[in-house]
Amino acid sequence: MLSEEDKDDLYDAIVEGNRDGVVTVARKAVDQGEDIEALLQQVMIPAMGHVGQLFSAGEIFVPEMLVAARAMQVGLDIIEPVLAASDHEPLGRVCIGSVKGDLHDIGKNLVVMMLKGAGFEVDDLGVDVPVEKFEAAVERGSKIICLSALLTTTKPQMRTVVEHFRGRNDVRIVIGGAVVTEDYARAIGADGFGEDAPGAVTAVRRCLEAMA
Amino acid sequence: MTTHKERVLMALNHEQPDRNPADLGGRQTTLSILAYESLKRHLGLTHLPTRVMAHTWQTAYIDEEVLEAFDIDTRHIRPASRVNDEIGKTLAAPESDGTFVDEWGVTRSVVGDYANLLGHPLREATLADLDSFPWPDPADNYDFKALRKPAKKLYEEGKYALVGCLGSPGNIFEQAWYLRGLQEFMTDLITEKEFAHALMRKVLDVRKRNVELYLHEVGEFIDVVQLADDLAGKDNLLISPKTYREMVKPYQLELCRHVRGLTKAKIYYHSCGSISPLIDELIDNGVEILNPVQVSAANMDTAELKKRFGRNLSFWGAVDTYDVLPNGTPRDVEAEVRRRITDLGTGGGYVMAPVHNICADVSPENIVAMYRTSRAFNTADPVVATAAGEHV
Repeated sequence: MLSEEDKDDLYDAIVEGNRDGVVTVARKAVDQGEDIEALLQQVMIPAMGHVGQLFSAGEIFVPEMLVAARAMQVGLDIIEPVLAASDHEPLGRVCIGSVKGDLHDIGKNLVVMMLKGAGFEVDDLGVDVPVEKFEAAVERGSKIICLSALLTTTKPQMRTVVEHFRGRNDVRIVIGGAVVTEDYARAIGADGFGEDAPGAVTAVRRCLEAMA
Repeated sequence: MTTHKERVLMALNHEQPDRNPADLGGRQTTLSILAYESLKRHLGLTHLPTRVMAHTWQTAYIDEEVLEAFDIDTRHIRPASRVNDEIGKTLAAPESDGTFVDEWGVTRSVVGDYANLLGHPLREATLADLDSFPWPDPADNYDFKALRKPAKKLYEEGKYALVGCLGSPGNIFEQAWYLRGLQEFMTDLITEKEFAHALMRKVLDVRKRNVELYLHEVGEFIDVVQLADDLAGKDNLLISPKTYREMVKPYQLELCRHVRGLTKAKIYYHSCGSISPLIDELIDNGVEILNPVQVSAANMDTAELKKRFGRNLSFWGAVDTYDVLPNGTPRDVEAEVRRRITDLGTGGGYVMAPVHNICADVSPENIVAMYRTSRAFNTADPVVATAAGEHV
């Protein structure tokens, strides 16, 4: 069994972006037949949640968040086979893309990392994504669509996607990006808004809860 | 009567000029090609050519006739690019994917009004690879020699304040991540510091040569020299102040000192976003003018910035391109311009300009309103200015 100290070490290693530290404890957990689901839910996801809080509070910055997300991913890769063999249910499936005409992916990639770190299964559709691709992702099982836009000139594409899915009970839409505000999200009828990457995770979680 | 040049220099020396100076047509204060086409139609000046300033940003040079019509106080001294001349002569064809490789080997794509980064040549590189990388020579990329004669002429005429653009933005941090990829370089700043330092040193060497080549030709003629390196997003800095001081500042400081050794021109520094936590550091580097004052970003209130830094720093930009210019009416634009001039230009210290290059979503009416208001509004006598504003 992992000691409380091991768990604390894992938590701290994720927050600090210490990849080697994460590998050590994650391997130990897998080797010792630890309850991986519990480790994920009680240690790893809360650690990434804490990283998100620190980022939103301006206490850490993009480099620290990226390094933490990278460490988390290494941990997820190690425990993934065990989870797959168990009856582990991901929190939900989310698709995400920068809207049609927008080739920017930095903000979107941060959201992808934070969503994975929060325990979601992410269908990353990339950049310049037309509405048909979002539709296809929903058919593959995504319940939430996350839209990103950097430019005032591509922002109206968000409305196009929202209009396309209007009235559908099987899907919710969360939007975010440099030019997007909560007012805009409300005005076009999006279901959620992410002020930053951790905020997007919160919005996705709320939408899923509202659907349940 | 105050000349355009005197007006700008007074403002930059923190003295109250007769009216607030205004800038248009520079690297970060021009119009996109599409916005310029639209403005020319509005002004009935369709006979003027549209010359591409930067293919990457899809920006246009502003013709002298337009600058005179708006009574602009500055003129920009910018070397022509040799590398992207071919593509620079034509607009990006809408049906193509607009992909090209720049002089650093970075793959970019121009779609509509803007450019994107697609490929990073140093993504997989190790420290050893940096020595064998084909670093660009600015002498191959820009025609510096052709600048001297027209710059000297403008200087001798003495009419306008001359703003120097190196050709490149003079960016180090940004160029490093363009080469490496943002996520990779951001990670390097924490886990591969030796590589990050070595990469920025290499980029700095290229920038220093750029500075030398440029200032050798025009250093004695220009009043302002522009540097740019984005360090912030809309909510916060991209990197912590600590990371900045440790990893980025040494190179920016060295570049500023290099510039200072070669010209008396005031150092103008551009960083988008919520940059206020680093302003003291920038002043310490030798920065005298801050651009663009992205007022839509967090902690960029103009009255507050003036109060905190106005004694040591002039401001350039600040007219909101995020909401007011694209979404507002000409009256909203007028109020915005008055607000920024009052906040930043009282007692000098401000050159009015849009926060960033004006894109196609800004109406010509709003562009006209911006410059008309600036010309008419005199902070020394706001009552008169209000009345005058109605008739200009």
